[in-house]
Amino acid sequence: MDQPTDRPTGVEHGIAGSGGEVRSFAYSDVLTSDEAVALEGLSEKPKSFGRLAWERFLRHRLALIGAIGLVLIALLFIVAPWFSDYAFDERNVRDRLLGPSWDHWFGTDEIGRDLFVRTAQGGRYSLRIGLTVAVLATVFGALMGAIAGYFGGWIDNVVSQLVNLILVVPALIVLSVWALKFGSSANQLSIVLAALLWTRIARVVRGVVFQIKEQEFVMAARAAGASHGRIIVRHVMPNFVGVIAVEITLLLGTAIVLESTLSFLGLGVKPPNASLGTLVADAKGSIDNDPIRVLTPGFFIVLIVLFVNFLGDGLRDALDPKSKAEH
Amino acid sequence: MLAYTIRRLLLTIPLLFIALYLVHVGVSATTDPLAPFYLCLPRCQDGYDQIVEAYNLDVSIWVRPFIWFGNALQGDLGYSTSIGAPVTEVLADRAWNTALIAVPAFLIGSTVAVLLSVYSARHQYSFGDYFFTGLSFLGLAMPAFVLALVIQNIFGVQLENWFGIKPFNTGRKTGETPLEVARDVFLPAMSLAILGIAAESRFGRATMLENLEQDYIRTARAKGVRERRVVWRHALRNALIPLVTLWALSLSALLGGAVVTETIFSWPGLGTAFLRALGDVDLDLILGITLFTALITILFNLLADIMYGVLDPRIRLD
Repeated sequence: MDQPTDRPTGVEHGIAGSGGEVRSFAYSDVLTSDEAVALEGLSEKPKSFGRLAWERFLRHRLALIGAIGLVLIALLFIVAPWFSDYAFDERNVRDRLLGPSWDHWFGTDEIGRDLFVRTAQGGRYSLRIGLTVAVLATVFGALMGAIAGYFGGWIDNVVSQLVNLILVVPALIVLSVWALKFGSSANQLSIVLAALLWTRIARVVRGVVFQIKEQEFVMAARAAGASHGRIIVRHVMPNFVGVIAVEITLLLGTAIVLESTLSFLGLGVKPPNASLGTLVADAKGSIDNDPIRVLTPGFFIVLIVLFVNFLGDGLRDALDPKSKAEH
Repeated sequence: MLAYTIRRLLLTIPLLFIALYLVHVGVSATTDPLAPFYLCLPRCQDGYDQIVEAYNLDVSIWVRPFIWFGNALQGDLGYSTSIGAPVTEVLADRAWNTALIAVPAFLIGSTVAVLLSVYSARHQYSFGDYFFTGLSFLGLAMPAFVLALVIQNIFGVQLENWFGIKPFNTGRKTGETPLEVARDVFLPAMSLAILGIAAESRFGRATMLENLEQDYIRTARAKGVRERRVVWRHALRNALIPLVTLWALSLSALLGGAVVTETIFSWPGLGTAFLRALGDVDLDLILGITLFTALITILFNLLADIMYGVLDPRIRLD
């Protein structure tokens, strides 16, 4: 029943940290970050105001860059093809294997399809799968984690064995079996990826709920006659909303990398659809003559994940009132 | 400690059985080894019967895994049709090849990661710190296949064109002498090492920073311990404790076979064997590799927890 005052050293830095620190109030009630920093300054090595401001600026600037970058990439993928004269599956054998030009921004492939339009379409496909996976996995993982943490006992055991099972069964088998049974459309792919990726969130949420349910304020609320629903919504959820916001962002990156990797191996998106991973796989054969063609879709994957990670780190700092200006 | 280890191992046995059972049923339910025979049936009845016999197709799909379990418990993991050798032989051969790139990648990666995290933590907010942190951000965002293709192209193709020689083998294990093997190992191991460095150095920097701010560091400095000793003996030792978990997990992942990197460098390891077994529906090999990787994952997770307790006496396992 003791309130943990200090974070444990290291493991799952940040995430476990904000999980270990339990709050019963909404974020608006927390000290503004200026006040928190000022208070912390009393017990810690003093830093100049300029230094702190600079660090916070850096921190938020990265998150800002991430957010703006993601919006710009999404816009590029959605809007730019409208201004192109080509459809993503339009073949034009006469114009095959062209280099980048004003007409074909990224050049063309072996059967004369415009690579810019294909990259945009593949990017939309990747983003769509990534978003679906992130939402599905977060909802399912949070639910499982909350159930395991709230009820404990044998239910907790079953959930944690389920998590272990998913860690032990190779993901590629699950994927190929699922694809053979249900096909490999974007939705099917999203479902199976979410089924593989929910475990981390479940563990995080379970830890938070596990601690909260023993706290005095929950008992006080219960004694005051609050219903289970009210306790969960008003007192339990505010404690893991921040964690979930961070996790869902980072999960978007993980899902996009995983999807593109699978598509690269031929186990993910199937033709005629294209994703960034299949575009890299298509271009792989001609990498010796035309490395740029591999690099463009690869570059977009790296850029998306980079921005997602910036945003996730920024959110983690912003939503954790105890966090100091680091990184 | 011993009781804890035994209990943990006993707990994982049912997990292993369930996992293998599900894989067996899942793969059997979605594939049909008899497919090539339906068109020629009256003529090729012999072949048809052989396949039924070999895969126990006359037994219910829910019971078939138990036949495999029975054989596996006697040390017979079956025969790999895609490679054409008993599964135990394939596993031994491929696991050795995978270890050949995984172990150097792990050793180099973790050493560099520790050095980088100590440097970044000691020179926080310096140019070098920002530079390496930026690089690790980039490395974290880089999917393995993009990194491996880039490395293969730069060192295998572009450099060859620049210098007119072939400094690196871009794929497939061909070497006989240790030097040739080292040449073959270099590029795939480097790809894997870079991915490890990116993940570990940021984590290491954070734990190192946290430890450098602790009271015992101030005590050590106050009693006149030299700075080098404070950093490398006092702070680093404590910072390594959480890193050990990360290492155990990454080593187990590496030893289980890096599918993408091995595929790109045509490395005959577990990863390529696994991908091929999936494509050819080589059930025995799929199960064999699943068993192998699951055992490694379980053992290294256990090892990580035990090491945690050994390195930090404050943590009690029970």
